[in-house]
Amino acid sequence: MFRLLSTAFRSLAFSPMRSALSIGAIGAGAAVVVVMVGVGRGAERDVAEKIERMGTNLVLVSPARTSRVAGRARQGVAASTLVPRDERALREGCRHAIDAAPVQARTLSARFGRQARSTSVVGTSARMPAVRDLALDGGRFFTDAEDRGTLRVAVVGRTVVRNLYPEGAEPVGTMLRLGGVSFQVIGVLAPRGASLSGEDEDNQVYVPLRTALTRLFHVDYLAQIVLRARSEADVEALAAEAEAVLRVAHRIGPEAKPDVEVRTQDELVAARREVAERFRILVTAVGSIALLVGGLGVLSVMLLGIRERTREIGLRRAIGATRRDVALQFLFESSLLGVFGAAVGLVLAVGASTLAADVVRTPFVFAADALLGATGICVALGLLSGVAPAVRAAGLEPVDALRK
Amino acid sequence: MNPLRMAREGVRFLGHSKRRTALMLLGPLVGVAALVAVVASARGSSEAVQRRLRNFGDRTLMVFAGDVGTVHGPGGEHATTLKVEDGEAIRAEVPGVAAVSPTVRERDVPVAADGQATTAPVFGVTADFGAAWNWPMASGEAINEEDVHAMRPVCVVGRTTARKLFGDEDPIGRKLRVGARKFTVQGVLSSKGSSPRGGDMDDRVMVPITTAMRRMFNRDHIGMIRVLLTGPEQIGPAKEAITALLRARHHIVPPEVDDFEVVTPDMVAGMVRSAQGTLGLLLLVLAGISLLAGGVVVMNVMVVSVRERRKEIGLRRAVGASRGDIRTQFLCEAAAVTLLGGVFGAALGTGASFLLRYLWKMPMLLTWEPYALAAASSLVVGLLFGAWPARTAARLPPVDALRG
Repeated sequence: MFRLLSTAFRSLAFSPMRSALSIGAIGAGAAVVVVMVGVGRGAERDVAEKIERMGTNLVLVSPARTSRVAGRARQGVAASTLVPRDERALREGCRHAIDAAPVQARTLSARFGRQARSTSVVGTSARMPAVRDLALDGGRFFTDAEDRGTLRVAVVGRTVVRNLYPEGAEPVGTMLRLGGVSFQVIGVLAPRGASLSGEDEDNQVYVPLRTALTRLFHVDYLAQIVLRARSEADVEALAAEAEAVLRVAHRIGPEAKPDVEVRTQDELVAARREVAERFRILVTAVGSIALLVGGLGVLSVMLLGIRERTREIGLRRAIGATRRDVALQFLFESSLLGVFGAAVGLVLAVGASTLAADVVRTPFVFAADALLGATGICVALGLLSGVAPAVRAAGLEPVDALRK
Repeated sequence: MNPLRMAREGVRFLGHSKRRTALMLLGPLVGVAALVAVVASARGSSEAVQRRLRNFGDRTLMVFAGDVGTVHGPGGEHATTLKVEDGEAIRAEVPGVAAVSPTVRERDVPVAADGQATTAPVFGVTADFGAAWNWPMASGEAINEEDVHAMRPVCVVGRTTARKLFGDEDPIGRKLRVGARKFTVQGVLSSKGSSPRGGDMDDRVMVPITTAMRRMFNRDHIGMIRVLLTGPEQIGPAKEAITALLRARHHIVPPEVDDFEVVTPDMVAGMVRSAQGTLGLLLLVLAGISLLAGGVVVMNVMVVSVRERRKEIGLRRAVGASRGDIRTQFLCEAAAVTLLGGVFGAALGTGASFLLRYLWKMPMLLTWEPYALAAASSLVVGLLFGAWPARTAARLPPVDALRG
């Protein structure tokens, strides 16, 4: 056994060029698969993150609207079943939620100087920027302390600024009247433009929830609670969990109709899933093509290399090696090549991945499973390409082989 | 020797050793096939993903009736100056417009059917609604031009509304009371889920805009116009053109305040744009890698095959061929083999792409780029990797070479 191994080693070292080529072919084959799969997955994650930023992870809870009162259709009266402590219950009770924020909103008149426009005033908590991925263009969002202290501070959207302030004015630090109450502007939101449903998302003013409830709207219930799921895959689970938590909090039995509605952004979630599916197909296609290329490359180099050695086989047979010896020797050589090739493949894959990620700035995910699979297949191909010549060589009459 | 004779000689020689030639062909063949198939599959996927993302409306604009600017009390009063004719003018006069959907909306209209009653927002729309919003029907018929023209009492309902009124039954063909009038349900919209602000986009009744304006609300102004453009790059120019057009139609001279508002989908467009950037990069990187991988395979095969032919070189030198002759011969052979391999490879890659498309329904998109790239690269690779072994071969002392 050990002797076979050392023979294989010596024989590989005897023609370093041929060995290097084979090892290089196996390594390159494995590395190509890993890089291609990695690049495909990286792109998928990148695109998916961009879609997720639009809110695929959000679950929205709102009070159910009782559709009938005394047999008649009821006009749009907001139900008062959703209260601020529900938000806490949801945030703490839902395993699939990483964050939550309460919302109560009204359309009010916003006034600065002589300009007045109606805008959507949204009372919420300091967690809102994290939940909805809100970015600020200037200033800051309000804090928990400001919410607890019912301070009159406001963060305004771009449309509000454009409508009320003169060109080039700095809104941060100014006083804005919302529905007749003065607020200090502490931040300006980054523009988001029209949402998927066509609403202008920049015509909004965010104020602390307590301030909004006590000083502006004079109500003690919420219009909505926004929950953020850990990932897009958890959205449905979170929706079910939220309903269960609120059933307990509102003491509603399992048979009764819940007094809240839980919704997800179906279209976004569907798009996110379709993108994932498309990329799964792409990665499979690209990976299998790369594997085919790598495999064929390995096979061609190995076959060429081994054809050269008929003479050597004749010599070995002539000086007393049995057929089994020769076959085993070839197999050992191929497997050694496979092992070295795998090592080279690993180094190449890591190098190329770093290159792809840092120099070309491709989004990249290191595909460990692809590395394993590709290496396995390339080594197997190396072995396979060793079998045919090994059997053939072993079958040769020593005299014929020597003559060639 | 002239090059033509050289090439003929080369090709004749390739015919001599069929196995070796086959192996040499394998390199460029595999490389080019991989390039073509990988690029086709990456392009197909990226095209599919982009189409999905564009559904979100990265090339749309919203025109809203302006805010009249109430100073006291709640806001929400809108200008009554936006007309259906404004929409027609936009379609006729603004370049780059693909569809225009003027919409009139009324919140919380009582809707009843078979003893079930609820309230839902009612939208008066034109036949362009589906195109402008990219909102297909789940079943039944959309509002068409005939319906609009004849002010028909027909409607299309969202999923939520359908469920509230008809439960699990098929609503198509059923009668519905909207406000004080009877309508026939002719279609159900596909589900969009929650809007980003938490509203249920599937809770709606849509009727022909003429029916809504004349028969239901007795109104001659509309609330908004959705404009679909031919491309996202049209958003900026279209916004300016629409603003100028509506100012002229409404006789507004700045600094007078506009009585309308044009909202662009900044965030959606930004998302689609950056996702497209990622996909383009993915394509580039995948093409680059498959080119490189193909090159490695070609090089390996060439190096090995030149090494095999030392004897032949010796013989040629011995019978009077000069170094230059040997070099030219090898280069010609290399170029012939790689070109031939490239052609076969392109055919194989194209075949593989079609196979992938029809067998596994993978999105594949064949374009000319990979072919051009493959043709250029297989020639370059052949000459480049032929040149080095050719030089080695030419430099061999004839006696050594003859000895093998």
